[in-house]
Amino acid sequence: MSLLSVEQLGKSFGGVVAARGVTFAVDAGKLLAVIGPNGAGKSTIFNMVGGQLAPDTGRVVLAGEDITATPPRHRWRLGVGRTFQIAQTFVSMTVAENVQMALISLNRRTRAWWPAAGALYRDEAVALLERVGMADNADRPCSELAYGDVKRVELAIALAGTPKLLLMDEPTAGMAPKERAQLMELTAGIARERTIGVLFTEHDMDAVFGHADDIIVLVRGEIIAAGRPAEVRNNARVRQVYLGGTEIGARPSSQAAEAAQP
Amino acid sequence: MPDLSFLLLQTLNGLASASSLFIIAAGLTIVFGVTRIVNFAHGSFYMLGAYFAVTLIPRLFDIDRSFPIFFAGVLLAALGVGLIGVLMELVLLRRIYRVPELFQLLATFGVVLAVEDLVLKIWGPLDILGPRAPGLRHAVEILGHRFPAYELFMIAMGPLVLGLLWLLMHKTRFGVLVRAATQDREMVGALGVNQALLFTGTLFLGAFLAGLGGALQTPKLAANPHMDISIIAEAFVVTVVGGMGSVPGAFLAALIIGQLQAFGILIFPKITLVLVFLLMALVLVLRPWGLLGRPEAGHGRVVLPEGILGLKPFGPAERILTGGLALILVLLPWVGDSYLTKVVIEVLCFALAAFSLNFLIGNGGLVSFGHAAYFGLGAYGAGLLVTRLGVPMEPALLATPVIAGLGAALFGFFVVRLSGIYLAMLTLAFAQITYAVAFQWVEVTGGDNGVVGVWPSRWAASREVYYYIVLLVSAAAILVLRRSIYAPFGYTLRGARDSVVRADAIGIDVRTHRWVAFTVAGAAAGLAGGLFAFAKGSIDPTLISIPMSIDFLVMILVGGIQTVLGPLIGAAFFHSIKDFFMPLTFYWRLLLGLAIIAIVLVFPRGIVGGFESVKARVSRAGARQGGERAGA
Repeated sequence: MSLLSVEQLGKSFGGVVAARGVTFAVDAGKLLAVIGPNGAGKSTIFNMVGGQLAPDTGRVVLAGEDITATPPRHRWRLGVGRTFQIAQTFVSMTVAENVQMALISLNRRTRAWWPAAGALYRDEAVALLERVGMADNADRPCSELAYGDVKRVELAIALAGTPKLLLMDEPTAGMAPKERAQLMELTAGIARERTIGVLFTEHDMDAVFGHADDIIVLVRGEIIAAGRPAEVRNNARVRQVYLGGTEIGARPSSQAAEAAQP
Repeated sequence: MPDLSFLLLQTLNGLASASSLFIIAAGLTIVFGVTRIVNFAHGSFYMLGAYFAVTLIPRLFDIDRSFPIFFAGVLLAALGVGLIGVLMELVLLRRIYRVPELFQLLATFGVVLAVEDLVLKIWGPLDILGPRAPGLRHAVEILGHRFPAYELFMIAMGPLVLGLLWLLMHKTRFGVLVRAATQDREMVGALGVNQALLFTGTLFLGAFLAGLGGALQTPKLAANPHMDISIIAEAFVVTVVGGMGSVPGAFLAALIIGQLQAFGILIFPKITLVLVFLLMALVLVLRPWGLLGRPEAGHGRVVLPEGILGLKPFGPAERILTGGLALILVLLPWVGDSYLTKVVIEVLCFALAAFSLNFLIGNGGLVSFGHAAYFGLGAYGAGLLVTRLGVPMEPALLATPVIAGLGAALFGFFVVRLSGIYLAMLTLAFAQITYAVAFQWVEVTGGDNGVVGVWPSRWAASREVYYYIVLLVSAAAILVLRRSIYAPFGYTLRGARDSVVRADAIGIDVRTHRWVAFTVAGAAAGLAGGLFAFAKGSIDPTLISIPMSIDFLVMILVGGIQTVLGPLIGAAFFHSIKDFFMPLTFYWRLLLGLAIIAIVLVFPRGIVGGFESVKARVSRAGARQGGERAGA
């Protein structure tokens, strides 16, 4: 059984079809990338899986449980962690406090009136920050961080919920090439070691072809191709529709290697 | 059953008041749309329009007593107010577009206070009725009833102004820019439009419309120094019901509210004051952006929120200050005289109310414009229990947080469904409903006069003993609230303020947490109100009024909403200034208004925020010197 299965998802906005008959599955420990040109419906699908948007048709099933109508905050408790296209953190708090908040919520203590929040789950939070390489910044205000680091903090927040599934909407948007490669490495590593399924959308083809186990290609709300990166890369229809005939993801290794050099 | 002709006449009355409401609200909504400033001074513009008209028109009548002269006088008065709007933009608003929204609001309220005193100084406290419009002094016979011709003229003015505004908005470059800025301010800035000129022009238009509304009222409503506050609440209602920034929305809302007022007085004579605010509450609950408004164009940018940013433990300086202050408070009845004790009792009550308000605003990002409702519920709860039911002070005081908390829970249930300026306006509406009940339910509440004889129990009757009760109770309540700001509950509220989306994505039920916070803050304000009622010995509707709510806002803004303890300093500062200057001078409002404006310009982060900036600068300078020395 797949960790996440999305069945025949459909959504239209006032006659404009944003998604139609979208069906795919994410396995534990695997990364599935959703790609497609602007306006293909990536964000729509993403928000239906995340719970921010209700689908017109179809089902979203997480580990056998139908979560189509479950609000985002309950999905989180079922093991869905999420990062956003524009990073969403608590900017008035420190890096560690951001992760502590997620842990406080996980432990259902958000209504606690007395204990000092700054001291709760501090060690667990620092351990999570250690994993994303941000432990040294634990006590810095989140508002001071470089954007790439904010994305790492967001990842640590998502991990705090011990997710089964991680949803990452354009995880590397707005980052420098080197940071992108590092963040994708990190994500892939964490996904494998904790057997977390990752669903992500991405415009950066290096990130997609370098790290995704599977790719689905969306055009005008419909899946036009799905499969292993190599299959998708060689799919004639994908080349034609999506990139006007040029070969996509041709230099994933070379550019990634370039970016990784100091 | 009233006959048909009577109903028609009431409809006409409603249309006339709709016209006047629309003209005023149109100005408010345009100014808000472009500048995003909630301009409390709009009511002052309206009042100035009326005073200009009653001064100007009789002089013009020396030339010729005719309708064109009358109308020219009205236009001149409006023009004069428009120029004052320009002055306000150039001198004040221009400097504060970048300061936090609440400070802009505070600055415009400073203008309200200053104008109120200037008006008193220039025109005196008595009502001045304007001359009636020549040619429209008669009554017209309609279906056997006599109807004033001037009202028919007013009915025509509303659609006329709407039509002219439509032409202005669609046929001129200025109008197109105004509409563009209302929809997306950043985009207009990015397109290289001269924003300074646009904003000045907008303020002129807004003030002109308010002045026009005021001047047109003078033949039926005497100019008086209180008309600013009374109109601003109504203008806000019209603006909010129509959708902030929408001129057609304001027209529609004015039509509805005009009819509601005309017929409401027939059907529900007891609750006329409540009706419009009930309507506003209803509209906001069903359509959170008003009838024709639309949600704020979000840019997805992450901005630093207004309010508490980081929580630091106290440093030595703060410890010494707090300790010293606590010592002074404990010893006060021995070192100070009886009058000082009385003032400090009041300060302590306000401090608790202000602290509870900043618990919502500074920590939770829930801007309440109507916190006096809960202060008042507590005060009335205590007062009525003691005087009407003969309950002793102790249980009455204990009941105050429960009564106010229940009220806050009821109102808060709707409030927490909204956000931003609409949330603020709904809190204002609920506060006005509470005020109206206290004002109009005369048999129980004593109406305008309130109730006297709210005294403490005998053992607590001396001022010194009561002082210690207030000190103990308010300090305890403040400490409990403060504790929660540092605890998970406070952090959760603050997190939801920073990013609702993130809070939702980590499993937090934002609405419920906000509801609990609103209820708790209301309960604390109620306790403060109860303590205050026993200190004063009486209750009256001013405790629930808009000025009271604004006083609380001023206290926390002056103290600094980004600090935990700022509201306490703000309450002490504000109340002592008020108490000190009020008996000394007739111009305390002017002084207070100017002081508020100065604070906004000089310390846009409040007193305590300013203190912290200075501290940070000193320590940075120290570090730099140290670094240089180490380097040398």
